[in-house]
Amino acid sequence: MKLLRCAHGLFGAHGLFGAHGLLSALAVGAIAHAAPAQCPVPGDCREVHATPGCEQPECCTLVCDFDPSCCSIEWSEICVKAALELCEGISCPSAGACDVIHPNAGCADFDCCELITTLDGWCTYAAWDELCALEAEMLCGVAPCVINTVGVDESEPCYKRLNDGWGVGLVAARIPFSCELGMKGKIADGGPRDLEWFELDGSTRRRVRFTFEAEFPIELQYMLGPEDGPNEVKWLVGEPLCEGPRTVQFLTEPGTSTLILGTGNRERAYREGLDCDEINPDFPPEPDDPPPFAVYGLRWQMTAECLALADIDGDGAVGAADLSLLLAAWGELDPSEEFDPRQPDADLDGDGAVGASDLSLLLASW
Amino acid sequence: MQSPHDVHPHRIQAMKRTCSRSGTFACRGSSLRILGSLLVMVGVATAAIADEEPLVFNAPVMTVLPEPFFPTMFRVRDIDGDGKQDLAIAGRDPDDRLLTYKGNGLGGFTPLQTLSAEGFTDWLEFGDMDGDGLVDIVSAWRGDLPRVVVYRGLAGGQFAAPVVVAGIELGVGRDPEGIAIGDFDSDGDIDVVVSSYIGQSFEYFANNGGLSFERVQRVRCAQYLGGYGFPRMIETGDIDGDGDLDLVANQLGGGRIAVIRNESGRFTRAVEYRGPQIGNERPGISAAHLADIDGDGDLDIYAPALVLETTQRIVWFRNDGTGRFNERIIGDGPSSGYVFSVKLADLDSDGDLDMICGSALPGLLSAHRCVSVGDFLFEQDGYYPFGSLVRHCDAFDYDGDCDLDLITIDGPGRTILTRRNITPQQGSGSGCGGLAAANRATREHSTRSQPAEQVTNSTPAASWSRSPLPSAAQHDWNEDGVVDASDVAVWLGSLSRPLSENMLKVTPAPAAEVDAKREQKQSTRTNAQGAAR
Repeated sequence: MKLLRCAHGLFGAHGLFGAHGLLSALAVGAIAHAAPAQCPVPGDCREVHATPGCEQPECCTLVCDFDPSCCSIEWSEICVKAALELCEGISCPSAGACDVIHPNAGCADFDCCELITTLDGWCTYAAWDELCALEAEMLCGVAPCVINTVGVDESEPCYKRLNDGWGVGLVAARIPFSCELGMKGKIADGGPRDLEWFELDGSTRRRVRFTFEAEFPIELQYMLGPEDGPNEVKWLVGEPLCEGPRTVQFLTEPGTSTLILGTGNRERAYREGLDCDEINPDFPPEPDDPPPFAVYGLRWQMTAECLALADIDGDGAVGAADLSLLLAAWGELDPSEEFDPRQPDADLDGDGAVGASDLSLLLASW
Repeated sequence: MQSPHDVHPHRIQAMKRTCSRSGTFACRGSSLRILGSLLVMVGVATAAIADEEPLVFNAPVMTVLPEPFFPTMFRVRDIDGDGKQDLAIAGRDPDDRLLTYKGNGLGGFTPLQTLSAEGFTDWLEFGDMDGDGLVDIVSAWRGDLPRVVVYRGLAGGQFAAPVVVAGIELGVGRDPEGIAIGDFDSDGDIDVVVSSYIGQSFEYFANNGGLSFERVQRVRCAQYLGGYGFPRMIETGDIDGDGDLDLVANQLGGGRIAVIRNESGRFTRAVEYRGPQIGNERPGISAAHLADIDGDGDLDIYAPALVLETTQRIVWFRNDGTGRFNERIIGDGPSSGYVFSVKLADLDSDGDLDMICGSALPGLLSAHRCVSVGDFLFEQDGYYPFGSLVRHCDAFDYDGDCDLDLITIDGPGRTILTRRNITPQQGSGSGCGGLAAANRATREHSTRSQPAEQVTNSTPAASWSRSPLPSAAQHDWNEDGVVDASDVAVWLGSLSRPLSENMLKVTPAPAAEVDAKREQKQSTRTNAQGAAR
């Protein structure tokens, strides 16, 4: 918890990096105030070296503010001691390639390191683990995008949590799902993290196509079950940043089920780096508060369509192509296999196998 | 198959058989020791059912662990082969230690070996990980550089220096907390599953022999929650009756149980069950265990239900025979404090599972006799103040008299507490014969007929009391937007240092305080709805 909270405090709205336009700032290594000329220069901030300054801009500046000799004479033991005290949580740049797991916090590419540690506090304080490396691989070097959202606005200010189902421990509303639904909205970080819950029609098993796009790394999951459980996430997909609209096509399950949109990837939910850009009238900002800061834009949009149950390929008709897909999937499904809603689902009756009963359903709607 | 650490009726029977096979002399010796000494009986001597004896335990024996070790859990085993149960203790220790202690057979323990660690170790298990016939200790180091380690067993009850068998390169998750071991892929060696407290996941490492492991799967949990699930402890057992070991875990922050079934060596998605509504609130679920509570042949789940507004509860998630747990039955737990640990065990050999609970603020150990299996009803027989956070409790026959004794641990107080079970054992095949009979005779001729002679020091359980929650506990620790029982559970679970004195002050919880808590909770809810800062 300490790690997460520290990270959030450091990178949140009121944190060290809580300023507009971080990405552009990252490009030039900008920090909260003007850095001495020796910041950054080669040299580990936590090791004594004969030259002034060190390689981590923020740390270097903090230490040199404390003791200017660190940036004019040498990086002495006093400077190292100051760095160890002042620079907790500052880890960019550090040894290790950003897309490779390594035992220290931070990584060598300053911009990438700053981006990932902003989104993921663990990477700032602890080891650069597989999730840090995965996030670096997915996000570093990918330019943010702006989407022109269309559809009905969900009418949820990003500082509220109105459409999060029971995810925040409250009985809050879910967005009723309907065929030909088109919506747009915003997502922001914080605790609890912002999610959009779409309530699916549980009266019957039906095929749904869901197309979605966002300015942030997006995760979409399909969760089964009511509030008391049992709850099971049948599938979760994390889609690449800014690669246009993505589509999943799946068969809804009878009973309570929910489609949940949030920010994250297939391995981890994001909770940091996306400040809400609207003013909460209950908690208006203080005059000296920095403006809200977000690594990416906050907007998302989605459209939904309902297809025929047996329209496995989603082309709008039930025909030979669907039959071919069904036959190709014939047999028992492996329950431990991850379900991928981007692949055709031929288990029309949901019994865990593709067989005669599914064939019968397909032929009936030919 | 089931967890080697569960105490099920058939396990107890097996233990009795073992004891019988080994001869009754030792057991009689134990009984004579008891009869020859002054019995210091503690417990409330009231029985709801005329034929049932209350659960009675001898005076506590305490073993204080070295500072600044903060014990989190333990496992019991005869490490050195002397026939007496020893302990391995996991803990949070700034001095980076993991401890083994030698048992004296009377409930006392002395240091056996200090093992080195790098970081806190919240959990450990015994298992022959390298197949050399000697039992090893497997644990996980938490902290910035999480690792799974094995301390190889040596002759004479010693363990070798730790061997890191999985690090971040192999995919150990963030902040590994719980550990479960078992032959999950049925290939003959012991595999490991670790819960990642911050990573919200379970990592499954298959043993390829020679302490070579590979990560086979990462199973996420609590993905759909706005807050953190914080998975903690894991238990293993065949919950769906298909012959392989499945997993059950609790989510400290999510207030849920996660069930992960094993399908031929691979785990399915987590299926999660929320703690039931209790009064106006949802409980914090601080642990999860498996036992066949109703004797129907399948493993049920039970868990402590930490609540803020009423007395504590225990929840039974009943297995419908297929590995699903939709039915939840709420039983009464300790009458004071906040329940954190629980263990079901047949303490009087009457064939049903009784209960021991460990609570916090104030620290309490309580013993509850089962009076109705189907209704999950218990009578609280004993109520013993102990420390400030009883993190772990268990029942083992450490004195060799064939009934189950109590072993618990208080984290902040760094203390192991044991109590010998001197409850008259029921049933024709109970105990070793001598002890149960002698105990019963003694009680019938003295204590029971002259209750004034019985020494009791237990606190009356008529009204519930608890220490006021410190402000630190009343924080949205799981970041789900509500300050509730789950946050208290997370806070208790995160403690690694002794509590300050003012946190241990016991005061009754008057109605006004409860009302204030309700108001505060409502206010928090309102704020959470509007606040996302």
